[in-house]
Amino acid sequence: MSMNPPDYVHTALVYRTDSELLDTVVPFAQDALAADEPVVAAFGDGTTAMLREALGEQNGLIYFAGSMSGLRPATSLRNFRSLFEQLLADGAPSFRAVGEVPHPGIGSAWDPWFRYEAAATRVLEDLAGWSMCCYDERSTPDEVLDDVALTHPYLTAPGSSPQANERFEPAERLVSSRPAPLDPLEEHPPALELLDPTPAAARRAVAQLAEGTGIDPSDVADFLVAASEAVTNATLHGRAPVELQAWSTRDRLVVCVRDRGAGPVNPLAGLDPVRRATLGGFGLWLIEQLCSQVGYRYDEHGFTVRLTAGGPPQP
Amino acid sequence: VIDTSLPRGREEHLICLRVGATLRVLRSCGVTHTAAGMGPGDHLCWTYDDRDSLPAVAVEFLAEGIARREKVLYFSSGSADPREEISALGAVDDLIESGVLGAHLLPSVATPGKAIDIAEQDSAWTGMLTEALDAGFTGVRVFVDSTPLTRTPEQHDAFLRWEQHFDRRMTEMPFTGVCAFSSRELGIEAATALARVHPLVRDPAVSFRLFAGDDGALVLTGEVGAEDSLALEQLFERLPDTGEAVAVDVGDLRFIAHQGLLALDRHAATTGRVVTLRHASKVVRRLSELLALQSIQIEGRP
Repeated sequence: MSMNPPDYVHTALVYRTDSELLDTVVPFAQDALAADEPVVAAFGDGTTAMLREALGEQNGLIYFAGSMSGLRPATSLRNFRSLFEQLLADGAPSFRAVGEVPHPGIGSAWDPWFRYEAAATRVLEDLAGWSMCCYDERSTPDEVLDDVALTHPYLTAPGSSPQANERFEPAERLVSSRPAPLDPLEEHPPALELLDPTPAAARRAVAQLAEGTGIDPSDVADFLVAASEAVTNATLHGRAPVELQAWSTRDRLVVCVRDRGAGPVNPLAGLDPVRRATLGGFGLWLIEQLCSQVGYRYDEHGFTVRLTAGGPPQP
Repeated sequence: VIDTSLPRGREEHLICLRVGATLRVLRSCGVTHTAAGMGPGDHLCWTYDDRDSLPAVAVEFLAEGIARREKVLYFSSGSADPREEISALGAVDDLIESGVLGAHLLPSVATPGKAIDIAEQDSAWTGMLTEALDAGFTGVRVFVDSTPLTRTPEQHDAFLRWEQHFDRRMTEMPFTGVCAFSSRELGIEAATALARVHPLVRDPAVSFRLFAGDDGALVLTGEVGAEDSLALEQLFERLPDTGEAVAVDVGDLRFIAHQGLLALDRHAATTGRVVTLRHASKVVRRLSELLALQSIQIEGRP
């Protein structure tokens, strides 16, 4: 495989068998290691064991323990970006990363990771390196595979090198045209509704609602900052009226903040650790780091940000 | 020497010094609806709309001082005889005669439009306290309607600095004070700015307060919303000269928006001051890390 990436090459591999995976990933890693380029492998336990057997322990080869499914997309992007920056700062000419991204086939909601995949191309664009996101066709839902083709500027067929992908769409448009799927709680009347609340009033009301849940107090404290940031953003950057709705169960809290504006100028603001400040995107960026899940809706009613504390909805 | 808080009412706390195994009350802080029950170190901002309501508040406050064998002073912003206003104290002329009470019209002792001179005021007040202690009093207690001293922007700015300066003095010497300001005359914004540098306030709408704590530290309490960050930065800019380092106890701070933390970090970066946030909650520590704050130091709760 030889290809000189302009800067960052974000590619996806869809494989049908373990040997297809190994036949692609092993040479991808070996080529890099031979050129003194570090390689990061971030897979679940099973695939990591398989790769260890094929590649062993080598200088410059980093196995990322566990999968990303326990992490927030924004945290993963932040962690990967700082790891890659560090590798380059330490003198690596380039880096390569291979890994799998969470999706419903391996137990995670797709919407947050769809935004992760869309944003990664942009957030890492200035770093000289390659990432190959690997999807097992046997366990990946079709709608996820469709999105894989929209979010990767390069696709890699098993056993071959990355090719430019004509179906790729720029992240900003993709993300803003994809509403977050409804949380099951949103189908019920909200436990709390506030019209044009001040951030302080929103914090107090949500804190009161949180008292009835069993969510860890330190997660609640983080969540209150996020809810406050959402109301501040809607008030400062959106258009009145601002509406807050909230739902709770024993182990979950869901808050939607809606204003009548068009939403953030950059729909990736919340995921971008580099441009967050210049875009005035600190609020959304913090929200992404402080909630267990975040969803967005851009529609004829305006812009909605949905914050979740606690686990995913129970089926 | 550490500080801690003891609950006193819903919104009020005591800030204490731990000296060996005993706690010494340094001062109270919080939102209060009364000027009664104050002791040395206590500093209350009494914002008001109706000037006629002030004398009754002053009388209750000053009477408690007389009972504590303090020298008590009343400064009125009105034009009527101040002795008449506080006649409910009883035997006002005798109290004045014996040096227990002073009653003055502020307009007659202050030059209109002149900004307060901090060095001059400081030496006058500390001199008066020394004399009072020498004369056998236990401290000095003052009720002052300072509205006439803060009318122009220059006066307001100087007066904020003076309040911050004198608030520190009050933790070092046995002063007890109520500062009254007319919200109607000064405007809500200016009155709120003045209230923010008092440990005790009457107005529950004052979102946050920054005042002197123990051991040279400041206490930041209440809630610093995004809309408050500029006001917070301005207070730090007006801090009395505390040297190169300033410690801020945030153990009682209920909330700070990221803009507030960025403002403090900016202040530390531009002034070169070492700003340390003490007793920071987990969420404050987490925000500081996420914001990658470079200039302020964060110390967690023990």
